[in-house]
Amino acid sequence: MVNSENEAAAKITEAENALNSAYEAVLQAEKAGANITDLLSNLTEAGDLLSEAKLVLSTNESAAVDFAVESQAKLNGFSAKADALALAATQQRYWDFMVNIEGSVAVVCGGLIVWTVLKRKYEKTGSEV
Amino acid sequence: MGLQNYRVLFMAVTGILALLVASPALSRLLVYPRTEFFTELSLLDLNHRAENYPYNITRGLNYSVFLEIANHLGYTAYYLVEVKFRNQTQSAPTSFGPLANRTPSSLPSLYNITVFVADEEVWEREVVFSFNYGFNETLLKVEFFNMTLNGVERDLRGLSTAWNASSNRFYGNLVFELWLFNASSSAFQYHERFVDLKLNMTVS
Repeated sequence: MVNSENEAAAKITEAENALNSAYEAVLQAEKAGANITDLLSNLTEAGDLLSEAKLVLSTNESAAVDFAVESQAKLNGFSAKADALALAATQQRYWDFMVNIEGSVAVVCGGLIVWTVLKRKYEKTGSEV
Repeated sequence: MGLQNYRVLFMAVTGILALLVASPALSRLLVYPRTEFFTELSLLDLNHRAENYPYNITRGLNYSVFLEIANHLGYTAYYLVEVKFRNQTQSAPTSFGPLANRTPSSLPSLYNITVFVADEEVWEREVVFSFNYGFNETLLKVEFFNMTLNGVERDLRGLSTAWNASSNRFYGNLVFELWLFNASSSAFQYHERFVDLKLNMTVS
């Protein structure tokens, strides 16, 4: 049981800070090119609960604490999940980029090799290709 | 025809193939930069049009509008919508003129909506509201008791509105202010825009 409005306000501040940190983690994941759809839905749920907590703070401190705690609970492990998604996206982008660039270099090299082989064969046999 | 005659054709085919293979990577580098970053905030009626907004209010009846936010900021935005209710003499928000002059209403928020919107996405929510008020026949004023916003009752005691002869109404103004979270300062800042409903609180 929570009797103090200050205590409820403190819980709401905690939940607010957790939500802000989670949002910053989402921004980082988004910058890295991760798919943030799931993260956003989690964040929205936590945000709605936090809004509820603020709305009932002046009339029902106990409910405000419950909402704030529930909001924070929604964000358990959130930053780790966002970081993992960001890392995976960064790696994926790096490999995609490398495959594309190396692939195009390979095409050019392959073309040169084929051209050299054909040229030698043509010079050796004197026949037309 | 000698092999040399095919040289240009061979080089062209090889070049095109190389560009095709590199195109996913090149598409990331050669993106035309966006130059306009903004947020759209709008209120729509029940048919999702900007036409039939609630105007003549009857005490105790529910009215609905849709609040819509479209994010074109280039990143996932964290918004806060502060819902305020004012009479004609109380502080109003501004959204025109130089940025420094655009200010929110100084009134406390009655209801907050926390919204996360991905870039180029649109968020929408129905807002249902009703008012409970009485008419003071001596002072010719509408005196508010409370209002309900999406099922949450908010106290409006002490707030009243006098008859406005120029617009022929008991003026009430429901305001939706948009605030944006600034990650670098870890605080919400007024996003220099709001939408509102100008209402006539009927007493008959």
